[in-house]
Amino acid sequence: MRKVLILGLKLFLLAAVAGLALGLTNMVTEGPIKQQAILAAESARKAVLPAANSFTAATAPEGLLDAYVAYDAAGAVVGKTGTIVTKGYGGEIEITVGVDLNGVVTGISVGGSSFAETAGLGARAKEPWFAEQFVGNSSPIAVTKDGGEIDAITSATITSRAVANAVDVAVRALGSMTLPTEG
Amino acid sequence: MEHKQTLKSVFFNGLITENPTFRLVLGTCPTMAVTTNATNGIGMGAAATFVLVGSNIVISMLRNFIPDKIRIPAFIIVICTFVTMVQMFMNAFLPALYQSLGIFLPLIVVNCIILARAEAFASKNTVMHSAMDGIGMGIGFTIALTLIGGIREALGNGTLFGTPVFGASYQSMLLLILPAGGFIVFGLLLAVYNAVSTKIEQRKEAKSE
Repeated sequence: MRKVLILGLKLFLLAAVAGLALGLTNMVTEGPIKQQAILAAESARKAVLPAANSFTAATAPEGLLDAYVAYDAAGAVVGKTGTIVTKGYGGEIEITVGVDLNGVVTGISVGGSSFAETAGLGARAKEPWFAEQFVGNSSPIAVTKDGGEIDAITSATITSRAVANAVDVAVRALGSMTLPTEG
Repeated sequence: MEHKQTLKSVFFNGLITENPTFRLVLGTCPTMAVTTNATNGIGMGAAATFVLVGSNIVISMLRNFIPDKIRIPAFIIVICTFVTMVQMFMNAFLPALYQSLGIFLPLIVVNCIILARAEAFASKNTVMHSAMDGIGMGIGFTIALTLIGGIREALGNGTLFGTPVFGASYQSMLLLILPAGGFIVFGLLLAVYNAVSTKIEQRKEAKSE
């Protein structure tokens, strides 16, 4: 009986010290991690809507993860950005889409924390040439196989189609969003 | 404790004689999964090395405190703590690498190299020797991963550490980036490693006779 108690006590001590060490690490890294997430989201929004200077969070329309109204330096509304999550070939893909006031795509950014498309195939959706194809398009957006204008990535039709369809959904959702009244 | 092994021999044991990837063939799961490019290989190797050295030191220090009966859970606690710390620091300061290593970073916990060294070496040797063992094994693992990653990235994608090496006309062999290519490269490197080390051993034997 006593032996068992000693074993338990030793394991408890070890776990307590480990917990303390992790707590200290967390204190050091918590701030930078949050900062990184904010920075990443902010730069994704800037990248998809280059004309914008600042963003204000808005109520996300159905189907979108978040939505932002973008303002230029003078404070005039220049467009909207939204993030949508879709199912790719290897997991969930997060896409941030920017549109101007006419519902024309100004840029998209593909990624997300669970992005797991095949390296060299679906993962090429992150490459600039793929994203740039979307710029200047308005709904309906689809890959050429589905009658649209987006060239799919060779051997990665599932990923390409998932991204194109998600961008289309996002553009329509952002279009239906009412802008805050000026003032 | 008295040791016949010098620190140097412990280091080279991990690096070459018992190279974790090519000789012990341990930790092949992360080896296959993350070596699609050289940068991932180095990142994974460095993370594993840090955990290996840290856990070896702590386990060696505690080798008289930890009772034999509960050594496995005790080792796992120590290893988990180090892995979680690496994960937090990488997330905070190297977010790009953190993203590309993904699930394989937390999976260092169950990387058999680390548990194997805790069980086979650190729990029986002094702190200095255990630290050296961790460094040798870690660097051996890192070199192996970077080598596999470099070959797969160069032939499969035409780049090395992200910079093009063969020019634009190079038609990349996509197969090597895919899992099957990982096995092919790993198998060929194992064959080369074994052929070379057999030759060296034969020569040593011939000399001593």
